[in-house]
This record gives sequence, structure tokens and C-alpha cells, in this order.
Amino acid sequence: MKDKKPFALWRTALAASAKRFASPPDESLEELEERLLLADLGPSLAADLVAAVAADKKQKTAKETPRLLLLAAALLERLHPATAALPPPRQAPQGTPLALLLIGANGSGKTTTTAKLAQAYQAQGASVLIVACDTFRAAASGQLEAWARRLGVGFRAAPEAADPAALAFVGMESAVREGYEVVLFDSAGRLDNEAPLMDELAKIKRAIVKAANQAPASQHLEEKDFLTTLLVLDATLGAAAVAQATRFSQAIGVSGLVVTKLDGTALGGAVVRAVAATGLPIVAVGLGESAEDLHPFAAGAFVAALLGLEGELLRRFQEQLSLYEQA
Amino acid sequence: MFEQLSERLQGGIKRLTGRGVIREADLDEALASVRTALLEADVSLAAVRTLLDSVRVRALGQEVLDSVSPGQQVVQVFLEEIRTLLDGDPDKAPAPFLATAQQTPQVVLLVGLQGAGKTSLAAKLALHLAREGKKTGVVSLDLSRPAAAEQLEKSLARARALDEKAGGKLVYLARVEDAQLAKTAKAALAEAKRESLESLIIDTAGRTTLAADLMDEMRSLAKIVSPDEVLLVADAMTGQDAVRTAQGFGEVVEISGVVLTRADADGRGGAALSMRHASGQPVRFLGVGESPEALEVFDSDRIARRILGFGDLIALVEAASRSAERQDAEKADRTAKRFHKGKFDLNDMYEQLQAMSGGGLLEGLLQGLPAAVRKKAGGMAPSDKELGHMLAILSSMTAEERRRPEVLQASRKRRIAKGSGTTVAEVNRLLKKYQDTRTVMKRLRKSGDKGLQGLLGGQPAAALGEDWQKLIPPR
Ligand SMILES: Nc1nc2c(ncn2[C@@H]2O[C@H](COP(=O)(O)OP(=O)(O)O)[C@@H](O)[C@H]2O)c(=O)[nH]1
Ligand SMILES: [Mg+2]
Repeated sequence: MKDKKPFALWRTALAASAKRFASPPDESLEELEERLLLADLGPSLAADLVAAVAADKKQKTAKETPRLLLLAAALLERLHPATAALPPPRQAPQGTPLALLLIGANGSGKTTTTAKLAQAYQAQGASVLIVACDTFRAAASGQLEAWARRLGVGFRAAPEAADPAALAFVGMESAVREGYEVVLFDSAGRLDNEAPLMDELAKIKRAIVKAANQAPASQHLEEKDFLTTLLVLDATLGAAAVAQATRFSQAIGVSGLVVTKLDGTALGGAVVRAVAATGLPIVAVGLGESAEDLHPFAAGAFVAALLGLEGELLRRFQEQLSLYEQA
Repeated sequence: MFEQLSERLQGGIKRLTGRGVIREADLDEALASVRTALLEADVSLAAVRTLLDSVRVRALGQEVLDSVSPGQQVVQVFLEEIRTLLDGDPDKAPAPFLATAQQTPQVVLLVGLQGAGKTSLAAKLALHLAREGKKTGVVSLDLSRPAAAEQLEKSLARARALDEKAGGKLVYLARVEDAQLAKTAKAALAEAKRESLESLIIDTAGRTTLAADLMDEMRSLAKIVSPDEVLLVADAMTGQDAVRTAQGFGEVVEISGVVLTRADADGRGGAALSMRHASGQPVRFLGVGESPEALEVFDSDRIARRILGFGDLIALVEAASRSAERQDAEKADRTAKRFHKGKFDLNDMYEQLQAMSGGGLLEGLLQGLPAAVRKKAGGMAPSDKELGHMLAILSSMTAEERRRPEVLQASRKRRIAKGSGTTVAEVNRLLKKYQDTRTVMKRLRKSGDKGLQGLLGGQPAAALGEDWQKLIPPR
């Protein structure tokens, strides 16, 4: 996690680099606002950011810096603290596997992300069990089973319409018993305004915690000791990203966000709003449909794409970014 | 999902009403807050611009200058323009869904981004068509997502289980496995003919418009199956990407309609406006839940009403309409005559309620009453919120029901309560109010023609219901 100060330095560095780059004509504040709006940052955050740029531009050191780069810096400043890594396997006390629960709206990419996570942890050498807790959607477990077979990881499912919490319990129990290092729980999609379905998720969580505590050797384990809950957000979402992040975390608690479908035309700016509203970190992004397409969240690349930086400005941004990352 | 947009819009618009002359600065301020509300509701920047530009031009034009109450006239203009945005060019109104289909079976191709909800929609649409009496088949041409065909098959089985009669008309076409997409598509078409299907719904793999190979694939698929309708399926919660997606698909296949899924979320529904604007095609259906029955035919009429809201905003519109109607003495006469004859049905009540906020007839009536009678008709002057509910209830009735309230039995009341987002108790309360009003009417009539004339004198008795209908005409 990086604090605010380096960004001040960064701005100074940006100013210093001005001489070495030919800059395109500076953009007006309206043009900046348009970029932000088109990327789903929403009118109020867009206004905040534009105001921040206007204030920055008045600083002596920033006179020569293009507004667009000042905007990129302002955005990065907001997103950097929101970057986090996935938890390592077996960070939990001995004998208890790391558990991850994937939740989110229908079609957001939970099942595919479950498969991608399985692949990622497996690539690190961890043994992985997938528990298909979406017992509602037609053929949901068939979809995940195909993935599990393809990846060669463990798999547990239950008949359609079975109680997902009961399955979660059994799944966690067998993960402990069989010595898996990571256990992934997929879940059925749900909209954030469906209270009974939120309760169902809370029940699934309780079942996982209860099962973990059944292991004979284990001392009392709490959710935070071993369970990570990831909210999967589709990059195409508008304002609903904020509603989802807020409501899911209020209702059942969320540890981090996964942003999917960033390989499409959607720029995913609504996620910045979700981050601003909840303070949740982004732990991974989905950049395609195959198992390898899960990547760590790179705030710099995200900002560059979101603002459509190109040419000299992009090079200048990248140069500053790499200097900054080194520092 | 549209209620929130309505709420946000009202604040911005309200500022303009009640002003004598529109100053450009005031107008711009009002439009700026409307712009914010629309953007917060995920309406695309392009659609917002189109809307506000035309409002601005008209608001500063003669039509508004000439009106008795320019502020309210701007509101009216704004509402008309939202309606135009949602409905497209009235001269180029699209034919109803599948109405122009020539071939047998008629073919519906579903396309869209990954996770948009195409597969669920395929089953819903199949049930919808089967209920129209068509023997309908579905086939999955999604060869990439694991278990996509299995999902479609199971979803169709759920639809079948829901409705025995229509279920008999539903056919799942198993696709040939391990073949190229083109071959699979041709085999599905042949199979559909063999089964003598009347309609065939084709589910496809989700794709982003940036994946050139997948877009090519979709182009050739469309060539092979030559669909009668190509529906772009999109999440109702989509943000600004609605434009890029609609354009990206539109460049490759001839989109003929849009379906918004997950419209049961609390989102603000801006995607309906963005998609309509960017694709140039009508929104045909809304997915409103996970059941195969959770499909609504998109009714721009109803959605416009929902976006506009039934609370304050409707009152404003009606006030605006009334200023246009003010000189319409003929209508005033007609209403007066009805009162004169002691005729008063729910249609009259509807009109009067709509007129209320501007000092309508009912208020006039009440003021002219002796205190004792006023008390008896207790609560006849509703609060703004109540007024909104009453208007919603009345608008959910058919004209016939309003003419003959005695036909309103329990099941109709339930339907009306549902349609207006209220409860049966509220519907009953309204009916009670109606009865009370009739009582008052009768008493008034007994008090002599003179008294009634006095009360009516000079009051605009506009038939606002009709004007509202003009703004958002029924289908
Ligand atoms: N292009 C792209 N597609 C994705 C991504 N993640 C998921 N998908 C696709 O989105 C669709 C829905 O995903 P799924 O995992 O079934 O969603 P769920 O309903 O949340 O489980 C599938 O077609 C996935 O292949 C991503 O990062 N990029
Ligand atoms: Mg799933």
C-alpha cells in the first residue's frame, strides 16, 4: 500500500519529463469529463476528478503537464490503495485449507472465475477442490464439472435444487479431511435486491465456518482466518456496480472484488466508483474466457485503458509508472 | 428498475415550473441537473445530448414563448422528447415482433456479450411463442461455453413443466456434436423443418465485439440461418458500454430488436434509452426474473410512464397540459354538463384528480361545501403522495372499468393493485373515496343549478386524461 506522498513526487517528475516529450494540445476540462463519463465513472466522481485536475493545474510545477496526465495521476491515486493480491494457499492455520467463496449477479462470471482461480492456485502447486454451490441455475454444475475435469482438480456437486449451504458444509468437510490446500465455492447468481438470497449466502458462509471448525485438531477458527469472499463484478455494469458492491458487502461481508470481461469494450470505470464507495480492493481481473485469463489488477494499465491514453502521453505515463513502481 | 430515474429527474425539472418567463440561464441550470440525473441512471452520453439538445431548442422557441406558462411547457417538451427517444421516429414505427417473418419456421437469432442472459432468454421466449400457439424449437449454437446446450435443454424442460398446454409445443433440438459451427447450424435448420416447427430460436455463444474472429463467426452464422429477427440481448444494468456494444453488434449483423435482461434489478434503466438510441431498434422484451415465465413484452408506454413517475412529475405534466387546454371551453362544457346531470364515474374522478394540483374542479367543489359535508367527504383532498397513488390506480384500470366501477371484483382489484404498485386496500380506499364524492355530488345537485354553476364558473375543467393519453398514447 502506498500513501499519498509519492504521488506528489510523481507529479513533479511528470513536470520534469515534459521537455523530453512532444505533447498533443492540452485537453479542456470538458473533454476530460467526457472521457470519464464514457468510462462509467459517473457524473459526481467525474466532477470531483475534473475539479482535482483543475486545482493541480494551478500548481506551479504542473503548468507544463497535460491535464490528461494529471487526471491519470488523480485516478491512480484513488486506485492504488485498492490493489491487493489473492491470498496465498494455506495461509490459514495448519490443516485448514484456504477457502474462497465467489458471489455476484447472474452471468457476472463467477463460474468461469472459479475455474480460473483453480488454475491459478494449481499453477502454484496447490491442490484444489471446487465445490459447485450453484444448485439453482440449469446445468450450472455441469459447466463447472467440465472445467474441473479439464483442469484436473477435485470436484463436489449436489443434485439440482439441493440446499447450497448443506453442500458447502460437506464440501468444506471433505476439503479438510482430504487435505486440499485450496477450496473454491462457486455460488448461484443473485441480484442485490433479493434479501432471501442474501440470507442464503450468509448461511453458506456459516456452513463453511462450521465445517472448518469440526476438524478435530483445529482450534476455534473464524471466517477471517481462512475464508475469502470475492464479489465478481462485470466490467459492463454502470451504476449497478456501486449498488452491488455496497449491498453485498453490507449483507454478507466481502473481502475483495474480481472485475471480469475487461477484454471487451467496457472500460470498467464503475468499479472505481464501487471501490470509492466500499474501500474494497480489486484482487484480480478477467481478460478472457479461458482458464489462463485471470490477471492481477494493474492499476496503471487499467487507468491508461480507461482514459484511452495513447502515443506520447501513454509512453510518458508508462515511464513515470515504472519509475514509480521501482521507488 | 425505472423508478429511481424518475425520482432523480423530478428534482431537476421542478425548478423550472412556476416561472413566468424562461431565462436561458435558468433553463441551462435545470438542464444541467437533468443531465446529471440521466447520467447517474446510466443513460448514454450520446442519448443525453440528443435529448437535452432538442429540449433546449424547443424550450427557447416560439412554442414555449407563446404558452401561458412557459416553465410548465418546458416540462411538457421534455416529456415528449423522452418519449420520442424511447419510441424512435413515429413515422418509422417498427412492425410488431416477428410480424414480417416470411419463412417457416421463422427464425430468431439471439446475440450478445458473454453472460448477457441469452440462454435463459431463449427458454423464456420459446415459452412466450408457444403460448401464442406456435410450435417452437430452441437450439444451442454455443459451442464454446461448457454445458451451454445442457443449460438450454434444462431451462426448456423447466418452461415445459410450468405450462402443460404450451409445453406441448416446445421442442428441444439436440445439436449434432463435434461438428463445425456452420455444419451444426445447417443441421439444426434441417431438423427444425423436419419437426415442422413454426418458430426456431437460436442461442449463440457470448462474444465481445473486439474479438474479430468471433464477430466473423457471427456474421457467417447469420448468413446461414437468415434470421427474421436478430435480438441483441443485454443486461439492463449496462452502463455506457451499451453504445459500444450496440454499435459493435450492429456493424456485423442486422439487429432488429433489443432485449434487456435482469430488469428486475433496482437499476435505473438508462440502458433502455441508450440501447434504443445507439441501435436504432426497439426494445422488445424485458427479462424480469429467473423463472421461464419472467418475460415482459416491452411496452414503451408503460416504461415512459414509469420513468416519468406518477408522483409530482405527472402532476407537473398535467399542469402543463392544462395550460394548453385552458381555452378549450368545449371540454369544460362537457364536463360541466356531466356534473350537471349528476353523472360522475371514475373517468371523471381521474380527470379531476389530475387537475387537482392546479386548483381543479374537485378542490373547487370541496371549497364550496358546507363544513359538515366537507367533513363527511373527509380526506377527499389527498396529499401529493396519495394523489400519486390514486392516479396510478386509476391509470391501471381500463376505461371501461372506470366507467362502470361496479365490475371491479376481487381479481380485477388485485390486478389493478399490482399494475399500479399499490395494495388492494388502497384500491378499496380509492373506491370508497369515489363513493363519498358521488354523495357530495348528489347533495350539490340538490342545492340547485345556481350553486353548481357558481362553483364551475371560470374553472378550467380540462379533460386532462385525454391529453396525457396524447403524450403517451396507448398501443
Ligand atoms: N470475455 C470474457 N468473458 C468472460 C469473462 N469471464 C466470464 N466470461 C464469460 O461470461 C459468461 C458467463 O460466465 P459464467 O462464469 O457462467 O457466469 P456466472 O453466471 O456468474 O457463473 C460465460 O460465457 C463466460 O465465458 C471474462 O473475463 N471475459
Ligand atoms: Mg455460474
